[in-house]
Amino acid sequence: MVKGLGQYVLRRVAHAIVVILGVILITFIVSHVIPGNPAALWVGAHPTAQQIQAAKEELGLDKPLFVQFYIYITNLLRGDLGVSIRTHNAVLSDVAVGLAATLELIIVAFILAVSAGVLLGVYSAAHRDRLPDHFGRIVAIFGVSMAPFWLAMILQLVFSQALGLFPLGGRLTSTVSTVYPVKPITGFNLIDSLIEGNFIAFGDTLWHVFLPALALAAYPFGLTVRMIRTMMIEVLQENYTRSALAWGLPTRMVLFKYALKNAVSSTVIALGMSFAYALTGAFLDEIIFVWPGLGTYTALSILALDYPAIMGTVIVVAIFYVSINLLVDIFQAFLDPRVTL
Amino acid sequence: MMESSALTGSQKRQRFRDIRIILRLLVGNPLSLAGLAIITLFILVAAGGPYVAPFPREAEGAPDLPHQLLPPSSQYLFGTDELGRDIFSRIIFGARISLLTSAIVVVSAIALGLPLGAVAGYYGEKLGAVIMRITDMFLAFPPLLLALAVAATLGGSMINALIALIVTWWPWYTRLAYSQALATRNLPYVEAARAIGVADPTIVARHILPATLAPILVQATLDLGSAIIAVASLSFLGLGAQPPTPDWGLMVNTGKTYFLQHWWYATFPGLAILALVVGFNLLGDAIRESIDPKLSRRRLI
Repeated sequence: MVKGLGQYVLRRVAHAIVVILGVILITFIVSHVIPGNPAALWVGAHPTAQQIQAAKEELGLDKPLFVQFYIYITNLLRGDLGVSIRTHNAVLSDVAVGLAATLELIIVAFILAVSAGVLLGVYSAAHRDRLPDHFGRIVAIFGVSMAPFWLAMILQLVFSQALGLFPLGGRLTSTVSTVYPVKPITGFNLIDSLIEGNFIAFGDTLWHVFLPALALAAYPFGLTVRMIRTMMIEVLQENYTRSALAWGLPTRMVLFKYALKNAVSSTVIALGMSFAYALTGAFLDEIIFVWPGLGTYTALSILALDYPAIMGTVIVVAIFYVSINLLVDIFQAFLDPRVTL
Repeated sequence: MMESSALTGSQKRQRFRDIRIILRLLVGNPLSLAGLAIITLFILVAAGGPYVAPFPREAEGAPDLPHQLLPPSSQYLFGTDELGRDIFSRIIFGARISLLTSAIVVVSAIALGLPLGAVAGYYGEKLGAVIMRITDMFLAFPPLLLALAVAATLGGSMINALIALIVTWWPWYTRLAYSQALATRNLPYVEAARAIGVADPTIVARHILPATLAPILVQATLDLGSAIIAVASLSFLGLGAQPPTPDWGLMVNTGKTYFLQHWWYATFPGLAILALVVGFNLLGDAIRESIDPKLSRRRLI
């Protein structure tokens, strides 16, 4: 079995490398081959003809395509994604800072989504086709049907503006960030503040992250409810759960102790699937809550026609996403040996 | 050739029966009925656009400056925007845009992805492997992210947003059609067709493609909803519809500046998106449940 798992991991890693090369090729095609005018975008708003010509030479857009691809890929391998027109920083360092903030938001959202989603999914399956199930399914469907930016606006309107329970946006209150600054160690405020024992900043970050995370949680929550419900319905038809019930074990014990164990792998799949949506959802969510992550960065880059920043973000996020998928697959195989067959 | 057409004849009857069973299941289920009702309502609204909307000229973008940012009232059901235009009328006109654009994205993605997947699955071997590797590369991007890059490169306009979405959406259908084609290629009726010498392209077109239709239809129904959100998201980022188009995503985007003081501005266009997407998801979910054998109707607890 271990041998099977090892081989499977190797095969998946090889596949991921091929896919990453493909990702690089596709982003190259998008930025160098398709019409549009990357040179004009590169220069920024209101370019002059000389600037465009200079940009073309600087970007090597006047060279043959395969030479351009060679330059592109060698730069990429050195971690050189160009310089942002808007911030004048190396795109890679901008993206690294933003990625940590975005991930922090996504992780909090996932914790909310999974804990609530598993409960509702089990509850829904246990009452299949009755009122609680209809309720569960409708809530799940609303979760996956909401435009993330709109839900963010509604939450902001109700809980920040009208009720004043949460801040309108940002990651830290300005007074907290001046009096109790968080030294970036991992880039995750919640972890860095704990490492330093800075509980005030920790609490303040938590207070800021809650609403954006809630808005972002809607989609993974709906997906988790749906997958857990389907899986639980299947498991509840198996003989072992039926015997457990027939033996007179308490329903709750059968549901959570025996049946749910078999639904764990489908939760992992649901999480892997939602992660992709959470990444792009976070982009839209952050814009509303001015969360200083990749989404805000990309939105500002789009407004400023900051082309290197846009393409740099896309390629880093895509490579990151492929790696996460690889980990999910391997974890999946670890949980369920049938996958490696 | 005669045998082959007789085969499709009986297949057609079989498919017709399947469709009837599915229809019966759909009408018997309150959730899918609700979904159907919502979609029908929006289609009617979209079709009746200029006749239903109280202020058709404002819906098309004509400003009415004396009536800026008025809250909902009996005259302006959903209030007015920063140029005094009736938001209710603009949402009605937006229904047409949302339905049309999402249909364009999904239908074009199917038209590209389905034949590729069927060919890859049927021929297998090298051609199939090449097609599927390329598909994997496109699927490696989180949804919307590649579309965002393409749209940003092409420049913000609705046409470019649609191109960007189609270019990034087809691989999902290729993968779906591929797995279906793999499952059907060695079934007796396909082997029989091969044995009597039916040409491969004909087999793919007449026997493989039809077999992929059921799962594709479920996916398409769900995707119509996702496509509405995707189009709205690109418009929200400024990469899709441009003012004064009454696009729902664009309306939420412009509403962003005003909604904290004028709650109705972004709320109603967003509600329209939510309602229509819920409609597609209710319907798609119900169809999926009704054709999934693993979820056979048995109740235990």
